[in-house]
Amino acid sequence: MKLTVVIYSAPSSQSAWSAYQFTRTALEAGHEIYRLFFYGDGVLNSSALSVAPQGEFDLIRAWQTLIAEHELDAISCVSSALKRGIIDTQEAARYERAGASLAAGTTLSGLGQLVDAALASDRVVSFGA
Amino acid sequence: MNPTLSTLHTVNKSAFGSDALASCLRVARSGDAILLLEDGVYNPVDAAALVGAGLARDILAENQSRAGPAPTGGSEGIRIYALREDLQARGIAAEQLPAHVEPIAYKDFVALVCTHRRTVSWF
Amino acid sequence: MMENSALPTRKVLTFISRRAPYGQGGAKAMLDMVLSAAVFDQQVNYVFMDDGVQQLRRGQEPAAIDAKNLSAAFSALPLYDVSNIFVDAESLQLRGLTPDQLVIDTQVCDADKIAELIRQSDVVFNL
Repeated sequence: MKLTVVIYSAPSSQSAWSAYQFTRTALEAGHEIYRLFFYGDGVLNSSALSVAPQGEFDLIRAWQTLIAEHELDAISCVSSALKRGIIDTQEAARYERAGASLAAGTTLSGLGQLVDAALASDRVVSFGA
Repeated sequence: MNPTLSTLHTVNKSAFGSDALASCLRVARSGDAILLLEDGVYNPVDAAALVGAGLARDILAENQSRAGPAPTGGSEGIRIYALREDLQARGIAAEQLPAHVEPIAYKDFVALVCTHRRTVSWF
Repeated sequence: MMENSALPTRKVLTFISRRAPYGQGGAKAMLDMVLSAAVFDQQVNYVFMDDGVQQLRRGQEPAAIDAKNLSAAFSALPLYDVSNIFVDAESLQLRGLTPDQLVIDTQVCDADKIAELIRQSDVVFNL
């Protein structure tokens, strides 16, 4: 089946880990992930600048690995992201910020991509806190 | 009830601190399933207290209060599941759960999403 | 007219808004999702439940806390063809609210109606 996973929560919340674990398991079961959509605090899962404390599971890094390995379409909502300091090089230039902070493999885009995913997927599963 | 119309609900909060479970129980209907995950797995252990406090309907605890086979077990009624990893993490043993709450693994969660027409997440 | 081949036929999308307006961002996040779905010309149900009914309370002046007025946006929903707006009667009653205290006309409904809306939906967002 074609699944879309929506992540509303920051990596500090277990529900972000649950979303990751669900996505990983769905891929293992042979399902297609149509899109990962990070919304609200969920965009913090796509930070390139976060550092996990030593000895703790690095969820952000794990997302990046999963996205790269399976070439997943991962989108962070642009308005949520800008507000929370998750910006790509283009936005950094436009708003004259010191640097970009969006993790590789994730792109910034609008809510239309979430609606598109809802229309194109067989199932949508949301994770929030 | 046609299974192609039924809904998977997920609840990831304890009903002591959130109205997610109570609201889910208000709109879940026969044929639906409820998956408890994260802090949601505390709810069946606390079911009697939650029902007593008016924070949950008695379907969470019904196996404890009724004799005979649980009506949640078959295609009728509402099936209730709890994620095994979250139970394990929180120190909840399977035998502490009411008999009609079934512990499942992540691969079963994925399967439930696919076999239900839609998933509604309560948080 | 050419159909966009990537998109299937119209779907029914239901949005259950359960957060009060200003303390956290959930109410605004949900409104933005509803407006986006409406732009895609989908069948949208907008349901207010639990603390979400507080979004519709008259007399909000969020400028007092440097916040944008969320309730003003609800008046614009008809412009987006969002007319299936439901409010859970029990949530209103628990909070001492009556329909005449709300900023827009809505369909006051019971839990059975919300269950029915869910059952008729392809996708449900609940925030």
